[in-house]
Amino acid sequence: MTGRSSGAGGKKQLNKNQVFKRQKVRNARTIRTEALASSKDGNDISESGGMLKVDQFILSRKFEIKQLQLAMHNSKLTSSTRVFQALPRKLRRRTASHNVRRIPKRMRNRALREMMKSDQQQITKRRPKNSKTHGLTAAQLYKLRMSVKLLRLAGKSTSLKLALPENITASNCNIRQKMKSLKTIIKESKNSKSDVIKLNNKMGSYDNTGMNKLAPIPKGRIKYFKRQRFFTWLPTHVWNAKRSHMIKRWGYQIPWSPTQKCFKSTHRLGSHSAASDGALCMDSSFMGTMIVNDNSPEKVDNFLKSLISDMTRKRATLKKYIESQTWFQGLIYDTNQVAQGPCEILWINENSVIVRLHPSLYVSVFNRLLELGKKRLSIQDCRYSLGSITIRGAKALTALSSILRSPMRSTSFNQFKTIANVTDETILPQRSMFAFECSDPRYLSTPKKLNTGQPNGPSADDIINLQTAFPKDDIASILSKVTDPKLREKSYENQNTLKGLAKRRQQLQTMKPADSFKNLIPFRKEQDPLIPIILVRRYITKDWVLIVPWFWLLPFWYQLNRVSRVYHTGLRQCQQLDFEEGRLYFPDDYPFTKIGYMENSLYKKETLQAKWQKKPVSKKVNYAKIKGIHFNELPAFTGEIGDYFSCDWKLLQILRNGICYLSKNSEELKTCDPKRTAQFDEKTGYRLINNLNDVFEVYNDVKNNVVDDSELPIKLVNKASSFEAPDLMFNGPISVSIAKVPIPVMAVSCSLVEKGHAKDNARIYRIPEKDMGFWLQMLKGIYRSDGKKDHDQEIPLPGVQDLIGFITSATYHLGEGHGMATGYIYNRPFSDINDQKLVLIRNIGTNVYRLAKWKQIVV
Amino acid sequence: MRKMGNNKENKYGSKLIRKRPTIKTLSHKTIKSTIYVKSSSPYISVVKRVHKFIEQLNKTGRSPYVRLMGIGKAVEKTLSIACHFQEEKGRRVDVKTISVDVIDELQYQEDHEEQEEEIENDEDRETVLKKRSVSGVEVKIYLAN
Repeated sequence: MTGRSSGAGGKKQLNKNQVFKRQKVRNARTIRTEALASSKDGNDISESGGMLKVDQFILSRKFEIKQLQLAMHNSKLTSSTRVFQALPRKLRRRTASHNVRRIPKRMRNRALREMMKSDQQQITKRRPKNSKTHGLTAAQLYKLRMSVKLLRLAGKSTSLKLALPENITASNCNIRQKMKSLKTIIKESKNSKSDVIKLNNKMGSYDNTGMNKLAPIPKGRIKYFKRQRFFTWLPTHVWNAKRSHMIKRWGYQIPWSPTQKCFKSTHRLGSHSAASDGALCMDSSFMGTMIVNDNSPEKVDNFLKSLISDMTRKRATLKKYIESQTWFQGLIYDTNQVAQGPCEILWINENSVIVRLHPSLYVSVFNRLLELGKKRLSIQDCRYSLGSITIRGAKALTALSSILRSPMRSTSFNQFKTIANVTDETILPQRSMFAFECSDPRYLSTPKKLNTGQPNGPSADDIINLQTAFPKDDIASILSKVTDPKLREKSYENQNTLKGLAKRRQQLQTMKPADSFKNLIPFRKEQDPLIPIILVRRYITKDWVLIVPWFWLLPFWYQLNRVSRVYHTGLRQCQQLDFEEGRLYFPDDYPFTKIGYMENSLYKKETLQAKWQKKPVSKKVNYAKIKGIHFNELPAFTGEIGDYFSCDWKLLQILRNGICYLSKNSEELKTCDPKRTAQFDEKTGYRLINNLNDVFEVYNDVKNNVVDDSELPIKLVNKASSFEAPDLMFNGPISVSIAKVPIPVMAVSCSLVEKGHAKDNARIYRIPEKDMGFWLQMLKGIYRSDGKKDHDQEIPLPGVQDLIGFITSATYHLGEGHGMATGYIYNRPFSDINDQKLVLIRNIGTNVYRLAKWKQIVV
Repeated sequence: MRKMGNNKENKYGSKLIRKRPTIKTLSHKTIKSTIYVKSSSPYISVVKRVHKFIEQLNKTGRSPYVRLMGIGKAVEKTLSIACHFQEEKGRRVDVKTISVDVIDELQYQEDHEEQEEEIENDEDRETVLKKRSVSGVEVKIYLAN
């Protein structure tokens, strides 16, 4: 019986593989018997019926027994599994079936046995190929030999503990030049000339800070220089590249999303602590850090303070942030008071501050500060000297506390100890920051839970103590260590190699007494490095950020990922969690900034467009021919409104400004004049705007212009009271000014009331007054006579003039159980009549409107 | 973490920003055996969850009872669930009264007026934590009588 026919009886349909498997099992289990006809006379009994033919009888019983044994054996074999199939997803490897080295050590013997059983070839160590059969041309061979020499020289240089010179990493010089410069360095160091930088460790770690200039890319292994010319690797790149899809953006190679499916698990672990029992971590070293010091002798005028105050619209310089040292998260503005994007600020003291920025806007802010603060400010570019790990979820603190150990006496560490097992960190005060010196996390052979000494967890007083007994001096001393390039460099002193650590661990094992503490390599006070770290809870994004010196990040990362139920994530998961919690994700949800605007109208648009164009004609949605979108049709356009592949803010600007102009004297809005074609001003030659169709003609005039970010069509407004009518007469002719004056928009999070969910770039419409009654009824639910909800309603269509915004990101929300959407709306003209906060959302290329409730997101 | 419906000022010049949840720590034993009853959690779904927990605990034997915790407004619901298991299902039930410390986040109006004018967002004001005791019940529903 095939799967298809069994499906007819209401059973579950089987796929091809399942059918095959089932058939295989069934075949194995059937026991063959001898057919009656196969024996010569067809019977064991003689013709007369009185005698048994013993020989034949025995033969056929023998056959049956044999078949029975065979069937037992076969059915056992069919269901057999291999040892690598029993591994959790995290430990499975692509070639584990034939390469035992891909299987954990404790299972290798069994795997080998299984391979022998199925006559598999075992992979042994690769032998060097015969030199005659290398298949290289003479030139290739020469090049390879040269690079071997180069690597050898570079190796010599690190073993002599010299940092590699800058021109080694330059992309424009060839191997010969590189070797030459390496040789001179080695020679010079032997003569002990002083202009070579000496390393203080065997790992090749050094502090790579740019003082009042941008830092060069970090020099890691020479083998990988060429791959990092344009996109720098994060410290955990090699680890992440094996486990995630990577993207190259903003000068970094950043993990985008784990290769393993994780949409649901991200939702479960990351969004609400009550449902979570694990943690999500991410290498966020691509976020650029700069340290700004005010080193002017007279500090009366608070130069730095006024600068930061200007950049954050007086927010980051309030008492809460400067004196109480709360981590600031907010918008940063440029010189024209246009928002640039999100930024994070931590004040170290009155005269120095840490600024953490997204890589896309880092360089512009850095250069601006450099220009403004000539001679007065000293700015460290710590992009490649401070790394960070972002971690969230109920197990975040437990995981962190099981890898962090402080050998020094520290009040901050003791405070951290008290909350080490807290799952729901919303109980912590807004300022939750810990800073202490910890030992190399690799000293722990396995991550181990920290003994807090409180079996029942912290009391309420302990939590309040975090706020009242904040160890300010203690933290200030560590902050100064993190922000000083020399002290960061010092933290690398005697950084252990894995070999060195293994040696010490071995000594520990053989040491007496036998029952002493063997999980942790004891800290040697004089020689071992101490790592200054900052651990901050970000109040708005509800996660923890661990900031460590760049070359120390990898040991922390390795240990963290050994804790159970800690998973790595990428940018995609950040976006997902931001969406689920109704926050904006930079840059996709920030169209009011230059970077967000370009992301939407250039980067994402072109990707979507290319995808659409690749499709065969029959599968392409013909956007221009979609009918029944609006109740009124205009000659200026057909089908879908605006650009099909992005949020068309330009259209919204022209439309809203145009309507604002047309109805300025509370005249009724004219859609189009069938008697006249478009009119132009006699003197200037500009288009005259008399009706709605003319507005769309203006849009058609400008829509093919090159996208530029010098003038953004929208500006963000957070308060309804500051929505004001744009001054349209200001910029000359009306057809120019409506395409120039930016319109105010507010960020909203919409939740869909009925079935269906919105998608990215969906259109938002207001509800026309005439249809309000219908939609209010819809909100309550329209029921059929049998008491069930009626979803087949004839929906009244809004008009083109009701378009008020776009959705920047939307999908089904796993937590809420219905569609959710983040977008921007132009809310001014009807905020008073629409108390219900209802809008209609329509996906691109469809004519179905969905009712949604919106609430404002304050940015 | 829920915003309070009435964040009016009280007589001390402070404003209650939010009530924080009780302190919880990570322990696999409690995850599998403890249910926190909220005033908003539906009666039937808690009953179903208790059944599910009992079934699982019978298999694993991690704990001899299922523990229900309810404080404040949720006490009545917790007790009625306890009664359901005692009377209808005939299980042994222990009830203990407890008092739990919770934390409130308060916001005081700024003293200096110059700062006050500058602050636009409530987010930028400093907050203070304060302890409060809430009484509640702890109900143990035993697997075996």
